[in-house]
Formats: sequence, structure tokens, C-alpha cells
Amino acid sequence: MPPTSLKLTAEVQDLRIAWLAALAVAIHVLESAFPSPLPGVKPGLANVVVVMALLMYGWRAALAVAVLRVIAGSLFIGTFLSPTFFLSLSGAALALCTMGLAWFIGRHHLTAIGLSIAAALGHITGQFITAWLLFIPHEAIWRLYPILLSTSLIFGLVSGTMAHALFRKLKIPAA
Amino acid sequence: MKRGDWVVLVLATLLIGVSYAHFWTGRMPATEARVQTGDGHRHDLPLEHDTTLRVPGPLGDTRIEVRDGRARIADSPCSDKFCVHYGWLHRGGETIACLPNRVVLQLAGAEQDFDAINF
Repeated sequence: MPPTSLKLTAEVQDLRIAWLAALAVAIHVLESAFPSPLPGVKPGLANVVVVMALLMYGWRAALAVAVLRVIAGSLFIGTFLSPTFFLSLSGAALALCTMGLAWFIGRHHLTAIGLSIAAALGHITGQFITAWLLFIPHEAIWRLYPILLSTSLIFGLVSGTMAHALFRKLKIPAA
Repeated sequence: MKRGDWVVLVLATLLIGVSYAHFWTGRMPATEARVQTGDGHRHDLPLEHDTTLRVPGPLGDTRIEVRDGRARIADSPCSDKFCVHYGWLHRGGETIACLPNRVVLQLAGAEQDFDAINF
């Protein structure tokens, strides 16, 4: 006889990821409520949580938090499967790639600041590639890229500094 | 900040510098001026020959001028003449649209794609 109920037990790691993802979603939703002075410019504070997840619990936790943030965050805002969602998803994906690359190459020489900068530049680059391939297939869009790359460096520095301060305050041993 | 952070910062700055140099220098060379009128006619003027072209619109004739690899709307019967005051177009993709007289002038390279897709 097949089992009539399925019991899933959440491991400690699952709960940690759920907590962090919930935090990231909350920041993501809050941030989307603020108007932006320039289209495309957002502080990207939710990435602080992803960087924290990477530093505290490792690469897979960061991946889980980032993916959950994009999906659950878009469900909350109402942009799930819309163009915004794909921009967000591709940004998060490339941010994870660049941040992960930095992590695997030099994790012992990096703090949250470097990881955050790598993620910020990857994020905006991923969004540009998607925007160019899917929505604005005109090379003129790339003229905007240097500007947004510059702002992403600034915001990457800011959110990285925040993550770094947070990490030192929490004094959590690295995974 | 540790050593790796500085490496990331320097690489990021370099990337930004390269992106400005690459995307903000005059690429996208234009090869022809495309004139589109409200009645659906299109005229392609190669930029290497200096010419003038008169195209009819609902208000009268708009005069397009091509000179020295550039193009402009030299004269238009519309009232505010934004199209004339815009001046010369140099780069591929640059566009003047004169809505009152329904004339669009655009510089284009060899390839022309959609401008943007919206949902």
C-alpha cells in the first residue's frame, strides 16, 4: 500500500536557508517600493544576504538563497515570469557566477567587499545580456552599460561594506 | 579589506574603463540615410553621395539633405520645426521623426534590427 502522507523533515541547513531567503525577499520587496533616480539603478541590498549566506554556509546555500529570493520576491511583487523577472533571474545567475568564481579562486584572500563587488558587476552584466537578447536587440543599449557598471561598482562597495560589518559583528565561523 | 578585495576592485575599475572606451567611442558607422514617409514610401540614400530629396507629407514637402556623410532635415513645412533644429545626424541609429509632416529620417548601418520590443 502506498504511503498516504509524505513527511519532510527540515534539516538545520534548510531552516537557515529559509530564514536567509525570507530576509532577502523582504529586502527585495522593500527595495522595489522605492523609486529610483535612474532607470536600472537599484542598491541591490538583498545581495548582502546572499553574500552572508556564502560566507556563513557556503556556495550551495548562497545559490539556494539567491534563487529563492528571485522566485519568491517576484511572486510578492507580481512580476513572476514577466520581463522584469527574467532580468532579475539572469542578473542573479551571473552575479552568482562571478561571485562564485571569486570565491573559488581566492576565498582565503577575500572579504564580503570583494565578493559583493564581483556580484554587483555580474548582476548588471547579466541583466544587460538578457535585455539585449530579449527586449532591446539594438546595440545602442550597450552605451548605457558603462554608466550602470560604474554605479554597480559603487553599490557593490556599499553593500559589501555593510555585509563585511555585519559579518564581523555576528562573528560566525566560516563554513 | 584583504588583498583579494583590492584585486577585485582593480579588475572592476579596469572593466569599467574598458567598457567606456569600447562602448563610448564612435562605432556603429552609418552607411545610408533612410527616409520613411507617412504614406508608407521609403527612400534609401547612400551617405557617400551628396544629395537632396524632397518627400511629400500632409503639410507639404520636407527637404532632406545628405552632405559629407551626414544627413539632416533641411526644411520642413511643420510649424515648430523641431526636426530642422535637431541638425545633422552622424551615427548609425540616430533618428529624427517629424510627426506633423509624418517623415522619419534615420541613419542606418548595413544591418537594421528592431529598436526595442516591449510587453
